[in-house]
This record gives sequence, C-alpha cells and structure tokens, in this order.
Amino acid sequence: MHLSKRVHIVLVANDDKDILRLMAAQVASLGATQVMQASDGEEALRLVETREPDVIVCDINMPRLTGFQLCQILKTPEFARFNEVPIILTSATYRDVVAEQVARDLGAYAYLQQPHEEAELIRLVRLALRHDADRGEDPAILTYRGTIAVIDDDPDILIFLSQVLGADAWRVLTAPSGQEGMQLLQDRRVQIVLLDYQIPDISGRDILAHIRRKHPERVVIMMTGHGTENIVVDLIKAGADEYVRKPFEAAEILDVCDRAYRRFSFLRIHEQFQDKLDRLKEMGDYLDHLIRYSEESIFSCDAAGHVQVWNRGAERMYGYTAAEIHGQIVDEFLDPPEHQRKAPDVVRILQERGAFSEKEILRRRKDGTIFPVTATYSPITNPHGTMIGFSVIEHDITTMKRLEEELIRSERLRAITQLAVTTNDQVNTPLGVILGYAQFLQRKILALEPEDMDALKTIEKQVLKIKDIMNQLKRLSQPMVKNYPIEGVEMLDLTHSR
Amino acid sequence: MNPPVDAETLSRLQAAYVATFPDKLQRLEQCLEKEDWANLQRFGHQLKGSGRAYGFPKLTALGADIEEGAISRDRAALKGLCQELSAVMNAVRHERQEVSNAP
Repeated sequence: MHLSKRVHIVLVANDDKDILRLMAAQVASLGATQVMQASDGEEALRLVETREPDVIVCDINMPRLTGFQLCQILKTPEFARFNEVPIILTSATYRDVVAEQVARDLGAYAYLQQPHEEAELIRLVRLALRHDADRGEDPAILTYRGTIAVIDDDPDILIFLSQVLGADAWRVLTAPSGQEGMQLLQDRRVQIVLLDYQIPDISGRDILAHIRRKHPERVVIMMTGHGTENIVVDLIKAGADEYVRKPFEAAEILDVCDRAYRRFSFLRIHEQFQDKLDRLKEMGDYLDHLIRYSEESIFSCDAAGHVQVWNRGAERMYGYTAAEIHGQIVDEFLDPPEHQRKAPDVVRILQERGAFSEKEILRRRKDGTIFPVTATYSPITNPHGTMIGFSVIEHDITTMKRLEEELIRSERLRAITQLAVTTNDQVNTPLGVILGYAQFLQRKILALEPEDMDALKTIEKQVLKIKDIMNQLKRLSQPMVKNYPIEGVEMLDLTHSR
Repeated sequence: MNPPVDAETLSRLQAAYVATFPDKLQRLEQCLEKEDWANLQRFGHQLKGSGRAYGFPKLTALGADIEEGAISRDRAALKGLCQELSAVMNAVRHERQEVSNAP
C-alpha cells in the first residue's frame, strides 16, 4: 500500500519548543504533508477540531491537557469523527511498558520513547497514515496487549491457545517442541511464556531454567497435567511465576495471562523505581559523605529552627554531638544570649532575599566560650517550591581574626620604626647642638651660680636621655639577626692541615 | 475473572478439533497395535489436557484413563477405552453434522 497523493495533515504537539520544532521538521520531510504545531494539549485539541489532522503525534506530559487526556477525549463517542485518527504518544518522562500499557488502554496507535530517532518517527507516522494496524512484531504499534509464546508438543493445545488468546488481543507465537521453543525465545520479543511441563525433546523444567538465566524479565506460566505437590514446589522454586493445571478452560487461561501480564508490568515498574532509587541512594550517599566529613560546620534546621542535620565539623566546632542537638532549637544552643536571633528571622530573610552570608557573627560553644564565624544561609525547599527549612555552613574565623590583629599590630610597628629612622637624623643634629652648647657653657662660664650649673647639667642629662631613646628606636628599625648555636660541628684546624 | 470464550470462537475451535478425531483414532489404534506404550501414554495425556479446553470433558476423562492404561500396560483395558473413545468421537461428529445440516 502506498500513501495517496493528497496532502496529509499531521499535528505535532509538545510543550518543549525545541523538540516541537525538530519533530515538525522531521515529519515535514515526509513530503506531501502539512504539519501543524501545538505547544499544549488545549491548543492541540483546538487544532484537531478545526483542522482535522490525519495523524497526531503528541507528548504525554503537556500543560493544560496531557497527551493521555487528549487521547482519552478523542476516543469518546462525542468525538466520534476523530475516533479513528491514529495518535502516536511520545514521552521522555515515562518509560517502557508503563506508558505503553496506558497508551494502549487509551487506544493510542503507537508509543515512541523520547529521545527518538528521526527514522523511527517517520516510520511510525508513515504507518499511521496508512492505518496499518498489524505490523507483525512491531513493538511500537500498540495493537496487541503483549506477546505470549506457547511451547507445547500438543497441537490441539497450541491451536486452542492461539485462538483464545488471540481473541483477547494477545499476539501468540507457538512452538511444538522444546528446540523450536528455545529458538523462538531467542529470536522474538516476548513478555509471557506459556510452557508445558512435559515436552519430549527438552523438558519444560530445563526450558524454565534457561529462561530464568537468559531472559529473567519474562513471566513464565507453567502448564502441567501431572500436578503433584512436589512438582508445584519445584517449579515455583525454579522461577515459574504462575502455574496452571491441565485440563483448563478458556477463562482460566485468560485469567492467568492477565495476572502474568500485571506481574510483568509490576516487575518492570518496580525495576524502574529500583533503578531510580539506586541512583538517588548513590547521590544521597555521596552528599551525605560530603556533608558528614566536611571540615566546615554544616547543619540544617526546619523552618522553626529545629536542628535536622548536624555534621562532624559542627560537632568539632561547637562541642555538641549530633545526638545532643538533633531536634533542638538552634538559636538557644549556639547564639550568645545577647546576640540571639530567631530562626523565623532567618526564614524571613531567606524568603525575601534568598541565600545570604554573614561575614562575622558570634557563636557560643558548649563550654561557653564565644567565638566568631562566617555563616552562609541557604533555603531548603520541597518539590513544590515551599521553604521547609534552611542549611547553614559556618567557618570558625578565630585564627583568621588573630592573624589579622597581629598583622595590624606589625603594620603599626613598622610605621613607627620608619618614623623613627626618619626622625632620628633630623632630631640628632639639633640635639647635638643643644648638648654641645650645654657642655660648652659649663666649661666656659666659670663663675656660674651653682643653680645655673645644675640647670645646664639637667639640660645635658635630658638631651643624652633623648639621644638614647632615639638610638633605641634606630635599633628597632634595623633587621634582627638571630644567633643560632652551632652544635655538633667541629671546626677544622686549617693551620695544621696539609 | 474473564468470561468464558464467546460461542462463535468456541464453535470454530470445536470444528477444528472435531476434524482431527479420525486422525486421532487412527493414531491410537496404530499405537495399540504396536504396543507403543510411550506414545499411548502421550496420546492419553494430551487428550486429557485438550478435551475439556475444547468443551468435551468426556474426552478429558477418557484421555486420563488411556494414560493410566498405558502406564500399567493394560492392553485389554486400552482396547475397551479405544472403542469407547471411538464411539464418543463419532457421536460428537454426528451431532455437529446434524446441527450444521439443520435448516
């Protein structure tokens, strides 16, 4: 069958503008195709009603109306004229059988996992334009509920199960021997295996063991006419998911297959959750390790200020163990009474300004000592964006502050000594003149009154004192030479050496 | 619980199954003639498994007896069972023919 000559209309709906543009361009490359674009479900529905597309390619996760909802609406009797329009659902969020199953139940034509291959999108749109419902093994076309392999040497059973399960929308593949069954399981995409216990060439028990080794994801239903307690226990222990006793009636086998498929779906969903959980756990462990062993004090509180997380850095810095402080109001423990601030204030600031830092705040240790820290506060929000608490990273700046003060002191001293060097020369000369004249006058004027002589001697003494201070200041400005003792070194007597 | 298979599908299935009766009877007689106990047992086992599924519980019961007879190698019992099976199968065939010939 070939596409007719008329121009087909394909509606592409996706809320991600880049993907929407890309898919529209890819579909347009089919030729003889008019592509309409919708960026949400409501717009898609409007376009469906006004433009009547031949095929809809629709994302599942869209605002206003999801792909599932759009599909649901278009399959109702009220939208009878669109009931047969093939809908290809796409999703990057959902995976595997979970989305496929819902899409199939809603009557979608096919399911396309994102990110997609261009060729696959074009192939599906082309098939949908032909209304091609049965593509044999095509896993993307949602015609069948799933594929069941029946392995039994009784041709009557194979015919019966093919017909009964086929009428219930299962795709049924049959194998009349163990060998052919093994080949079928290797070549075909199968979700459920209906396996006879007693097959002449390879026993059902051995095939079961093979499936468990090679295809653990497949659900196996064992059929047997020789039911004994031992056989049931053996088969279940060997990994059979379901057990059905021959002879059975159609309703029984349909029930067991429904159950098996629910189990298959559950296991896949469980696998996906487990996979996500493992990844989350891995990330959680990593973050936990990062926080736990950080040298910085890291703690978090709920919105009321109750401590939730208290790392080792915080234990070291404050002296409280995590057990002691967990659940306590943080301000009452860490803030000195006169500097106490309330958690709601922190929450209010975080809500108004987002994360913020304090260059220096005072904290109190368990032993009562007060010390300065820098603190960075960050909000903790739940997935809906509501703030549920805050985290605090603190760094003890006691050492830094001491070094800072020492630096300031040494800077001041350096300035003083520089002043001393400069002033020494300028002051020494006039001092020398004053001293010289004082001594000259003592020698020259012989008839000095004793009190005048005392005055001159006092001048001389005080000038010498000033000179001494100036000399001391000058020494301060000179580099210090430390004399290290030389121990254990014997000097060679060079005079006696040859 | 799923409803029983619809009448049309069951009728189609039964027609195909009944069409295999002559073949089945011939196979059974050959096995009995050759005293092929293994295949007699298999024949009985399969009939036991399929009869009820196709809506013929009597065949399931006869299949179980044939399987037992083959295990115990009871030729006389098997001969009787073979005749009984032939009678049941022929009756079913006639019944179905009459139904299909009815105006």
